[in-house]
Amino acid sequence: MVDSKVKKQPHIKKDDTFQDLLQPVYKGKKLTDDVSTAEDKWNLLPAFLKVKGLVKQHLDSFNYFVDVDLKKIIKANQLILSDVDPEFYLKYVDIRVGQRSNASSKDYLTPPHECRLRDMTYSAPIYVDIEYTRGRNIIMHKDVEIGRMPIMLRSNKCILHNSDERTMARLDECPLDPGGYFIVNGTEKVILVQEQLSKNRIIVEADEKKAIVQASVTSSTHERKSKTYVVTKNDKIYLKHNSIAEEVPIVVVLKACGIVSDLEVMQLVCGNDSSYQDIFAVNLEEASKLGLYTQQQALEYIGSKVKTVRRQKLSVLQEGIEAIATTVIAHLTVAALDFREKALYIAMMTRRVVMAMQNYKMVDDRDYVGNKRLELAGQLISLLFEDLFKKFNNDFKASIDKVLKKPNRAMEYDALLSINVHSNNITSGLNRAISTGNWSLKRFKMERAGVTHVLSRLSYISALGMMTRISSQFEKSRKVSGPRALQPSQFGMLCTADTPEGEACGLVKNLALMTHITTDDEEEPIKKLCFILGVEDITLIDSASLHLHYGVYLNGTLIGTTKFPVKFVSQFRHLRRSGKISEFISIYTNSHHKAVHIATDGGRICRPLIIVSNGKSRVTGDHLKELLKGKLVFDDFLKLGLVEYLDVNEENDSFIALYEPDITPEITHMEIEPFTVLGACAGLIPYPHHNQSPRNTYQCAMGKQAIGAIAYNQFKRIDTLLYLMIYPQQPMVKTKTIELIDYDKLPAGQNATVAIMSYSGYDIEDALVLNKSSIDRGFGRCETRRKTTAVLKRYPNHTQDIIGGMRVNENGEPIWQHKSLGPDGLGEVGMKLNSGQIYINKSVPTNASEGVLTQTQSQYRETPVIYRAPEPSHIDQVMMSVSDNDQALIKVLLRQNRRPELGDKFSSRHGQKGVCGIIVQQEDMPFSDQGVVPDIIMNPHGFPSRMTVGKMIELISGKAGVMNGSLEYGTCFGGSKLEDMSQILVDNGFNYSGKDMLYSGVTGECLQAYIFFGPIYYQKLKHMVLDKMHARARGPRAVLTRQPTEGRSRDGGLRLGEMERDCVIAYGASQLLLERLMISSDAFEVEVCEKCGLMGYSGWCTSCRSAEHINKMSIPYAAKLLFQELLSMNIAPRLKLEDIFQA
Amino acid sequence: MSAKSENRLFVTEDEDVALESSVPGGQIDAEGDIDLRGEEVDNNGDDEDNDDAVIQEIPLNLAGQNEILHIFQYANKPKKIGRRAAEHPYITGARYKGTSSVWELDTPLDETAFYNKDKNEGEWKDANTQTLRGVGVGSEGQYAAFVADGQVYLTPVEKIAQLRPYFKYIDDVGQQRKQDDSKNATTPANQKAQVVTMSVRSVNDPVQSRLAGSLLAHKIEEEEEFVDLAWVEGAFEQFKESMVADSSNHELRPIGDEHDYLENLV
Repeated sequence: MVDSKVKKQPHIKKDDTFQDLLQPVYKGKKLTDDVSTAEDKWNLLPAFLKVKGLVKQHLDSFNYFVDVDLKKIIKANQLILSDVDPEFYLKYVDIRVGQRSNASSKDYLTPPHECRLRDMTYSAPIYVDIEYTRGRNIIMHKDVEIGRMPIMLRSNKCILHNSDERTMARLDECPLDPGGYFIVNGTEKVILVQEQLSKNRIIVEADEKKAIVQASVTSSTHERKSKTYVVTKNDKIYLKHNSIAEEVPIVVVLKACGIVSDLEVMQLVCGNDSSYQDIFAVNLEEASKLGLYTQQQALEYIGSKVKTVRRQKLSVLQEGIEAIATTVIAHLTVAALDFREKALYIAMMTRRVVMAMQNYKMVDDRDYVGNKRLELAGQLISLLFEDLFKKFNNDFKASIDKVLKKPNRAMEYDALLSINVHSNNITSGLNRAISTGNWSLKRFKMERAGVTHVLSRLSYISALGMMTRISSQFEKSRKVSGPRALQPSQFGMLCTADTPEGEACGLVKNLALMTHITTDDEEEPIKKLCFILGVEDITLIDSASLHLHYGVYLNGTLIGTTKFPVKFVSQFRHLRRSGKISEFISIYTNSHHKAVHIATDGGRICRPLIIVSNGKSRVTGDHLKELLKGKLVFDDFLKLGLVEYLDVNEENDSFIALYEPDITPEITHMEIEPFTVLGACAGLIPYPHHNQSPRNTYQCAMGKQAIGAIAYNQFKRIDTLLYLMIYPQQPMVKTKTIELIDYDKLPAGQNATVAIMSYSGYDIEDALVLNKSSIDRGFGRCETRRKTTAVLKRYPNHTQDIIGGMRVNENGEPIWQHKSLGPDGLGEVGMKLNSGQIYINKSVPTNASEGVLTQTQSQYRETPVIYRAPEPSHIDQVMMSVSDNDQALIKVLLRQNRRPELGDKFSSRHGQKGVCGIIVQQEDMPFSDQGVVPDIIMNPHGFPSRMTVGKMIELISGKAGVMNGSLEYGTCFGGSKLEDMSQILVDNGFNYSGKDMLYSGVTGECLQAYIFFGPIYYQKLKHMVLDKMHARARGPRAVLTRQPTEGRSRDGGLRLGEMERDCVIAYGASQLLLERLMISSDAFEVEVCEKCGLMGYSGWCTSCRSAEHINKMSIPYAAKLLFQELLSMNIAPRLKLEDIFQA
Repeated sequence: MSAKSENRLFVTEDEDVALESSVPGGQIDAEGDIDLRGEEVDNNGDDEDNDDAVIQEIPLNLAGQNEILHIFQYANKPKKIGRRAAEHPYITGARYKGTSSVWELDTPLDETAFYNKDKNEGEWKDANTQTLRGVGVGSEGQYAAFVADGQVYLTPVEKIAQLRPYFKYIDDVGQQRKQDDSKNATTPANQKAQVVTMSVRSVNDPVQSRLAGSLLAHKIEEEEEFVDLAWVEGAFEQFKESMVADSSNHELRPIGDEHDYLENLV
């Protein structure tokens, strides 16, 4: 509220004429509030975004990777030993990216924009400190470069990190650009967030009809990934694992883990519950039937079933030990003799299965967001880097061995000399993976394609939308509804509106506005803390009392039990709120499982909420005042214990109030702002809570296609294709989200005055009527910028491509094709290019493939770049530079200025799209009392079925804003109230409902109905007629079939398809059919032998060896092709000819 | 854990030279690790003890820094016989592997009831003892305590072992049977001369050292010899006295304040 006052005051001073209109009777839509928290708490949101930003999850993840994970990888692969020389070792001591050990500042990197322009990779060197032996000496060496790491923009290794607007401007960067992507070979690449089922957690599923219950756990560590199942089969329980040949009875597994007595097995799995005991008892028989009584027998039994291939032969017992210790439940690796931890884990899985057998409702939901983890750029690159680093070390070791093997070397071997040989592998491996999106890791047999995408720069919002996108691993073709459905647990975490339509519907999601994705946190200190807080260690608890109390699980693994779960959880939370442990560690109780779960793993989505204690919000008005004054920042709210992060699981353990009046004694938290259920894209919609839900989804898709401003550096960019709006306007009806994501600074649309009425009949099917004068004034005008790249190659024989000058005619004037060329053979900036003209006059040497010695005098063949398009373009920029590999790089940017024309697509922000149906002279359009003529006339039939009430309210709020000289808010679940807006209209002499009396522009009479009339924000979408219009009389044909090519880009024909053919047949227009399908397509004259019915050529039948019965006829070339292909398969299609002139 | 599993207190001066003193667990008044737990409330775990008033303040003594205390948990001993010392089975032998910290205790079987003597003499080769076996697990921050003269004496616990029955005789019989089988299965076909290729291996062959993790631990355990220890009961009073004496010899003084302690915790 304070905020809004501050904003409005300068406005009032400026517009004196509007002064009286602006007297604060209504502007204070919040004036009734006292300065309490209720309405002001939303100020926490900008504070959050200031700290976190919209793409913080990408940056956090990458920062974690380069700062923490990289060091862990180095530590895990620390030593290189030689097989040949036992004395030799090389040890990695430290690793850094982009900074030398003694340097005070980061290395200078080529700025990102230069990388974009020069097709380079924005990367920083990876330095390692190594320690190794040379002869008898141990040598330390610092800052050895082992490769280059692509750097995520605005991460802490980026030169843009923490830089202000001024520095950004100096580096040709847009200060509003969120970063979070990579630049590889000049293209901007995003690693999309991947959604997966959480690792190292037990998931229980059941099929009630088939009476199958299974608990599965996907174990994932740095070394291993495997999946273990505990399944039921004929009501008996077995353990299943890929590397064990058959299912092993569960009691045998437990015996192998050292739980030898049946009593103890029963205690571990069932506790004192007699119904569980009844269900489980049968399994005990299973083991005794097999005659397995001791641990050793059980281990040998399992060992005999193991099917892993090993280099080293192990005894059956050893195989069994290995299987239990490391293979099964691989994330709990037993290094010593005590299998108790593992036994308990398996027993817990079994218990969950027994629980589900007793009650089929005790299963987990795969689609529940709490069971999902998000994999971000950092984790993916970390996997890739570890793979590459291991390969690098292997290669390095091989080359060391090779040298050390030689018995008498002249001098001491220095391993450092050969380290740089392989460094290119890491660089190119990283580059290739990011630029192709193919993540192939041999270690885990992982082969994933399409991990990275080119950052869409269609508009600011489309780039932003891409950074918050989450793609799931589910197969798109499978017809399952579960993973696609909107989950209640998505509330506040994933946007409820933003998902594509069609096959990826519900599988591709978007983050909500105020979310954070966690990174991995250390487990050990938390474990210790739990014991300090009174958790009884699992190794000390006897099996009988295991299930008496609540179990404490740390990242899915049982670590102890507690008698006082409520106390324990509240103490733990207290420590978190006081900042003693990381704010992203979650803890919650699950009374069904009698368990307290603590999660420290990465990839959980969480969001901040205001803590409520004793029925009072901990955040008070005073706090918010301090926040606005800048004395407090968001992180202080965390430290003071006013706000905390909750993940989905912990949310389920809390009572969250939406607003302050909703608080009752049992409430534990309060929302910061309800509109944060929506994401960045859906946040653009004004009054979305008044719209039919799918309309909001449609707008989310269309908002990304809207043409607007892209970035402050848009005129400096040379992208493959860029659409820019010439006069973008910020919307009259804004939302809080629009301000937060700076959409008002880089908008994509214009405020059009819209009349909702019928006009001319050219407005059927949502078509719009456009005012010609509005278009003349610049409405909907946009610009396309298209890039052409040419590389001047150098060839091995020292020849290279050249740029020729322009050719002139006898008068010394350039020929028409070369008209826009300058003397240097490149198009000149500002010149107009017509179709057929040349703008890069490149020539290639004809002798490029010859050797240096046999070289003849260089001759050049012209390979000019010719402009081909229906409409002329202008040359906007010409750039000549040198790329990474020292070849000259030429980029020419062509610009086209486009005014709206018939068929161009427009849309409002409510999923209401339409094409321009007619452009009408302003004089013929209706006008109001004030002489206002609409820019757009929209047909009212668009409303009843679409139910986009938000659009109507937008119109009224917009109109009120125009009269008031203010920008109104249409924020979700809030915004300017309709009553207030109507009041403004009434006070300004308008109808409360936004309807005006209009006069016909044709007759001058007033129209019979009042017309709903006012401003609505309209977006111009990228689909434009100019890019789509296409016709062909004659043109290229496909080589194989000799039929016309397909598609506009290949100047293709328009297909008369099967259904059209049916129509023509039904109509009986046989000659039309013949003309369309053969004569205008692939008519071909063949010579057929009447005797044998096969085709011959040049008047000769090859099979009959005569020219006697040859007849000429026209058939489609495709038919001829078919006959020949059949012949090649030993099928002889024989044509029987009839004389058409027969009676 | 406290009520169920009785503590046998083993006090060993050294790993090898053992000086045992053990007491029936029933005599220990407040056993278990209660230093950080707060008061023990009976098993209805759900109720919170917020309004717990301080009834009595008991002085704490930290004693026996140089005692090495192992706690045994008998996983299969019924809860009922917990305090009746007489019903605890007699221990005839105790063995220990120091490096791997593996315990084995022998108890004679009750041959008067439910004991098939015929079978024993035939198939099972005089199996008249039950062996309990357990692996000691290090326990940091766990203390055993007893009360004497209204004072609590805490002794750090070195290791805790859960003892479970170990049927060596079954494994032995199985092993024997397997050998017999393979002997009987030697058919003429198997007895054909075979070419055996052997290669000389260097001492530090990587193949040998490749055993890692649990396999390595098992190998070490297998190769280690048991140390036979004598089992002594009823030495608790003596232990108690030595502890009391020990703690009266020196006084513990905190070197940090409350703040340091909290800092250390987290």
